[in-house]
Amino acid sequence: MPEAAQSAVLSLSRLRLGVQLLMLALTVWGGALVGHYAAEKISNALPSLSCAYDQSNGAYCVLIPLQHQMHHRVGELIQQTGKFTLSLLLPLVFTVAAFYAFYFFIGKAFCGWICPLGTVQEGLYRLGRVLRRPFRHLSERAARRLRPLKWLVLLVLVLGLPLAAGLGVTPHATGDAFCQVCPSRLATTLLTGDTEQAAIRTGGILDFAFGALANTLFGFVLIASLAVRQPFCRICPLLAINATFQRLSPLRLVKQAHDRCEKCGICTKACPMDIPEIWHESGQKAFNEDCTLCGRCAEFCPDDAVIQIKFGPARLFGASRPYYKARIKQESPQGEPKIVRWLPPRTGGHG
Amino acid sequence: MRALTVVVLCVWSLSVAAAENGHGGHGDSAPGGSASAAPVWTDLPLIEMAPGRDRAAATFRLRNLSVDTVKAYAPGDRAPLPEGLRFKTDRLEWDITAQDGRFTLQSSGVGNYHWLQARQESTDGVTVASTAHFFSNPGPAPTDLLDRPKSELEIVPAPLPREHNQYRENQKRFFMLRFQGKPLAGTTLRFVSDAGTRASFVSDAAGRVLVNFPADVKPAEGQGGHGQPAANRFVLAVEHEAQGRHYLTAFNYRYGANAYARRSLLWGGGFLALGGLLGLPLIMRRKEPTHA
Repeated sequence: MPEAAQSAVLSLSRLRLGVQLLMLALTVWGGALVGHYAAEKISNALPSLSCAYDQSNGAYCVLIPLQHQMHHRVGELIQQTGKFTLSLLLPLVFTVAAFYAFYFFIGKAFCGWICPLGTVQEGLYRLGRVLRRPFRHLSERAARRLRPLKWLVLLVLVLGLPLAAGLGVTPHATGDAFCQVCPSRLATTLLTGDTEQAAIRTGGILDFAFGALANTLFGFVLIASLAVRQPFCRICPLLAINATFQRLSPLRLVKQAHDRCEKCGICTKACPMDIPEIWHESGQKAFNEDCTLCGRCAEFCPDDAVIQIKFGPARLFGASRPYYKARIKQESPQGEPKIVRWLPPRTGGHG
Repeated sequence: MRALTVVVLCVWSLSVAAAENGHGGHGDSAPGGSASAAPVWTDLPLIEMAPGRDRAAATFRLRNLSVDTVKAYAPGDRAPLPEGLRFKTDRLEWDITAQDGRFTLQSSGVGNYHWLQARQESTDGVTVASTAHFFSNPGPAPTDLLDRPKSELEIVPAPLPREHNQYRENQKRFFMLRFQGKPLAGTTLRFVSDAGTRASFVSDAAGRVLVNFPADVKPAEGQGGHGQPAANRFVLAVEHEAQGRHYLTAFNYRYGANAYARRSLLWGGGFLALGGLLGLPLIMRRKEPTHA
């Protein structure tokens, strides 16, 4: 088999694309396969943005029960009884346990391989390359400055406002504050042909404000994705939750220090989250909180075994020079596809 | 001044009461579904929700049917989980005593959906009223609950409505007709709503009936959970003669305003476009500076 054809077959990115498309089908339309009712879904605590407003999906996102329990179980019961007991947290413990049962095996690859919104954004970025839109990467400073936002979204929209709604401090509409603005709610429902979620509620000011914010954010993500890689992932609260547990999954990114790393930096160019630490750091620090375990840094690392994806002691994928050489012929680290020359170049003629 | 204070207090207490009544929860909320002091809108047998429900119990009243006990059914243990991880319950079905036509359903604690059935039997035939109620419990899907034969003649929603998938006007939803556990083909299903709409639908060879909910939900006066507008009540009824006996079965529930009531696609599209415009500078190519 020619070298180019062999590399095309074995590319980690191609494998990931196949898994992403399969998971997109399962998380958006998979209800027909796994069942209609919530209890029949793959999980009600999936570590990916699989939306319950999508009437035909195959799983529910963990942020749904988290908000629901903060609102109705923790907040409302504290308000009714006037006291806080640890037993109030029991439903949250079960939700986190169900989440972890999935997360243990796949870890942060839920973001890079399974999340439907992640796949949609990647698809749009590819479309942007085809349409020859400019590539905008985030500077080291900007990437670092954006990081706290996802924790803020987690604390305020997923945990804080639902709790406040349960306590009666904020209106009922804030009980699922994150769902109200989540772009995946719009993306997945629109993918099923349902435009209801894209229509803004006009019954109250808060509902309208949430709808306006959600649609504006979604519109921005749709267009920005043509030039910026994974714009929403950078503030996604699920990435924050996944980052909390990333050391508790055997699936991880491993980087060994290498003399040539400091002058190279291709790994950061290849990273869809523009993570500078994968370039500058090694050991545990290289596996940054923003990592989605997509594996592009390992694919585009030109030195043998410097970056690896491991499950416990087992190496699942490791950087290698021959692989890098084959991969760089297909596309640039930033994802610009290389022109495939099907015919031999013409000889002679002008210039 | 005192009169003004009294007026202010009255208005305040009314608004608080209205706010409390309008505050529904997830799942077990019934947008406009309560039936307090409701006028009679049908002579078909009904099991209607009455005021007084919470996360573990719901109160109902029987209409057009005189029975002392109502049977409750919970989801069974045929869950899509590995052996040993199943949600177990000993209470798959149980009797509830009705007093003056009222009774309270306690959640089994397992599974979201519960089924209620009141049965009145005479020498001439059998009359059955049925409905479903959603408690927010972890547990198995209601697939086996619906498959389990509960009376001779049955109307079975396929599927049951759920929190983000309620029945709505202008929507078509399937129901199954069964007699003695087998599909009942070519049979007429009557539809009656409390808005006065009457319609009939006929089952196909597989016993399936496609019910088209009419567009007759009036603009909401109050709101249910999640800001949903009020809903209409409806009853589906089917009659069948077999072995010299007359069978009448009814299933009642509620349906809300159409999906786009109190929503605007125009505003939605407008803000989508605004977001897109904000992102536009990112996808525009910047002009390279020209050097003389």
